[in-house]
Amino acid sequence: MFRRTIKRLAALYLAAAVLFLLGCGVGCARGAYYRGRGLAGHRTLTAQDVTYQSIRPYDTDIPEGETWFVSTDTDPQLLWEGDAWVERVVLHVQQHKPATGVELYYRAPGQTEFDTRHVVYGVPDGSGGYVFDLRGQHVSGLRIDPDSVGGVLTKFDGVELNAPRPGWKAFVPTGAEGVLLALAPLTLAALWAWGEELMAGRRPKLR
Amino acid sequence: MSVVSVFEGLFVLALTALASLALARRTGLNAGLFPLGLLAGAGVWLTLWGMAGLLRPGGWALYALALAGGLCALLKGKREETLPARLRRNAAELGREAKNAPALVLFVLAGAALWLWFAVSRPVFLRWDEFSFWGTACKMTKVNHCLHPAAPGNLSARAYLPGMMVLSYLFQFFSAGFTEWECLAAYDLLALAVFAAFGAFEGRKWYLSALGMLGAGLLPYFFLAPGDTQAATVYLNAMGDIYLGLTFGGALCLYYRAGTRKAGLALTALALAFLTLIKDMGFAYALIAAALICADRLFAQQKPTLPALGRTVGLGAALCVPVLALFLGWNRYVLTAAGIDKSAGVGAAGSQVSYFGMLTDGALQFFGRGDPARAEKFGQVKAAMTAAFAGTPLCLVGGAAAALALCLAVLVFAAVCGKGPSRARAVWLAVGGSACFAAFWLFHLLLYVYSFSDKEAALLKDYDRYISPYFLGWLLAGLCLLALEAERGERHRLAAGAAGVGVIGLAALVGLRGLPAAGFWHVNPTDAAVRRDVAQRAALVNPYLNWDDQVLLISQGDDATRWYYYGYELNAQLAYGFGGFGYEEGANNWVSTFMSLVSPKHDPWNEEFYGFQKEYPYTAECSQDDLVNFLRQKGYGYVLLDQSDKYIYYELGSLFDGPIPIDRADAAYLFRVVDDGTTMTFEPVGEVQYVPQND
Repeated sequence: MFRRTIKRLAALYLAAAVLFLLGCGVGCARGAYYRGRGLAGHRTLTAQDVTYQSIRPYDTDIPEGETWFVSTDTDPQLLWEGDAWVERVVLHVQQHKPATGVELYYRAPGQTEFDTRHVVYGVPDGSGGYVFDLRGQHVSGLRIDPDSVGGVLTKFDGVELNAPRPGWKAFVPTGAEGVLLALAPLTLAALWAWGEELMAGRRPKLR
Repeated sequence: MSVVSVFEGLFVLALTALASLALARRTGLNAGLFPLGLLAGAGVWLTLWGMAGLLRPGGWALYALALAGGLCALLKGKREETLPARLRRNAAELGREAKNAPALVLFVLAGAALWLWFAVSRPVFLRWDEFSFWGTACKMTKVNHCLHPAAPGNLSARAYLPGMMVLSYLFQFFSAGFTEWECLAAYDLLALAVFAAFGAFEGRKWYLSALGMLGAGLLPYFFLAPGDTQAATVYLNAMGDIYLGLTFGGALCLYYRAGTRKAGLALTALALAFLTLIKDMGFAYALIAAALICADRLFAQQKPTLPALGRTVGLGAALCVPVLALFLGWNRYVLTAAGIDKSAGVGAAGSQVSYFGMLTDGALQFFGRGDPARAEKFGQVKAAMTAAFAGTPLCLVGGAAAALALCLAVLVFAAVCGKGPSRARAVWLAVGGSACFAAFWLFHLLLYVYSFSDKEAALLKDYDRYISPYFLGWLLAGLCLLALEAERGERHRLAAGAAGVGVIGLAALVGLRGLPAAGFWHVNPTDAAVRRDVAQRAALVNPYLNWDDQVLLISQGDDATRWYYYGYELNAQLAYGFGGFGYEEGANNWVSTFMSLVSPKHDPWNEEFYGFQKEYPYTAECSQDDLVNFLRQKGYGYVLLDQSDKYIYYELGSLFDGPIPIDRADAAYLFRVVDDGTTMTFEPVGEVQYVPQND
């Protein structure tokens, strides 16, 4: 019984790992397909390519050629509309205040509104900007919240779509996938064993 | 991150597992029941040593005891047996215990995974209550190696109970300094210990342990408001409420699983004692649990004869005496260590009422005969509580009424599945749990009337946070009875079906109605940006401050966030500011924790020039003379200029001996207040000083 349980658990965990890797492989293949269609190219969005919400330009004593803005409330948004396959986005900014809640929302084709199910958190890149790892998504629009504080003075240097990233990153599970990989095989094995016991119809022995 | 931090938690986990197996071998109980009792016992042990002023020696003694016990368990044997042979034999015996206790194995695996994940993701405190008490007290306990009432630091709630603080201390005993992720992970290991007690099925039924623990782990997500798809802080916060509910339920699970054995009762008593130490309401929870256990023992497990009554009274005393002793002992300790008299009563100074007064006047208010001065507030709170009973969401299926119905439904089902004593047990948990909830709910009504301000009472501040732990614990206990029926009851198939549908239904409900966008598995790295900023700034000025120094923070435009963070980070007393309109004699002002200084002049030029100040929350109209008067009267020794603005620069700049920024700069600048009675100057302190870049 003990050995059978261990073997079954090992098989289910192996199957989960294989399924996950297959999923990653499918993601890579989709990426290649969209690259072939010219939708996954590396490009940089400038201030002219994006629209703003709760953000106003800041032009006092600004050197020529630089774009500065200031967030006017706690929900500033940079919006971009377009059809693309996106793996990694880098927001190049310099901010004069710590900005909490830096997030990227993406909209899949057919989706009308941005929502909290389609969000990626920004990871500081060490030089003032933020990296968003979408791990391959076909999007029809992006929304970046550069802060959730308000009153943040920001030098905007563009948004990089499909910035280069190491290939192995495609095979690292997210936190949610990690939890699922750890718990789903265990749950399945437990349900299987329980079902077997109920089917066998034996009266349990009192301990 | 230190390597010690990673290993010390795993070390505690290993010691807990070893002790659980050894005690299981000795007592014959399931080893999965022990982690909760052992962690609770460790919490009580450290609290007692801490109250004697010996927290650190108590920690060393505890680890020495655990190690010695572990070695004994691994090496015990007859004299003629060689040490390797003893080790092999004992390891094999303990291994057999582990095979028979899948809940313990899952506790260790899940605990280790969680600890390592937190070591990688390193979550930090972010919620205000973590800075006003919970997190700050954990930090003070660790940094000073003493209980928080006796430790220096910015803590107003010094009289709150220390259970979770010493638990955090236990898990980071060996490393230097305080680590927030270790504190958060320690809380979660307590939760896992509760789940292990809930899912402590015998070995061949490992699948019930796995599903039971998974289901129990989902329960805290069930007690979230429906449709809230924001990041959930379940398993990611240092506040005690969820753990209060879980320990309440866990103690009942220990009793239901092993209450017929002395060792089981000892574990239950330890869990109840620790429950008392989690927060003030823990005392009430522990008494409720003891009452439910006594009712079960008297009415469900035997005929209620006179000798049975005597035995039950004895059991009740054995459970309640440690609880009462710890609660009263703590009151006495805080009176000695911090000069706070907890028995003085409830409510703000000036309108304080004794507990007895609250209960008697509260009872009279129900009949319209109480203190007329409180009648209106009582009526308002009663109406609000009545509306909230069904209206304010506590869980994914609705408010308190829905949660109550769910708990009762689970218990009715457990009663239907059971026969004889096990049926009576479910009935008595339903009846007793309902009666205790009624008392608990009325007690909170009185607390809102007598202990909370009018504004907080009208809003029923934190109603969900106070009420839902009761349902969490009660539901856990009810599900434990259903699980016991599924394991070994007369109608085990029926119970198993119900439990299975329950677990799947719970998972579906959480998935469909309450799945948070993120949680402990996915933390937004930028959420801690302000924390990091304040921590860096405070670290630069801390070398120049002592715990006796009083520092007034000037952080223009702050909404209290930075004030709380500085209170946590600074090695000095963070002074209170004022709110209102000036500080000359007769001005309308009040004490405030933090403040933004704004112009008191309302002429058109000032209105326009300092117009940006209208966006600041919680302001104090404060001229240069007002600030001098205020500081002179309070006698604060330091000013910390965290975020400046045009008003500080132009109107108050002449007070500073040296340049100051006109806006937020890269650091916070510390100044000493020098006052000869006629002139006040702020002299720069330390190496971090503002250097103008362009002028």
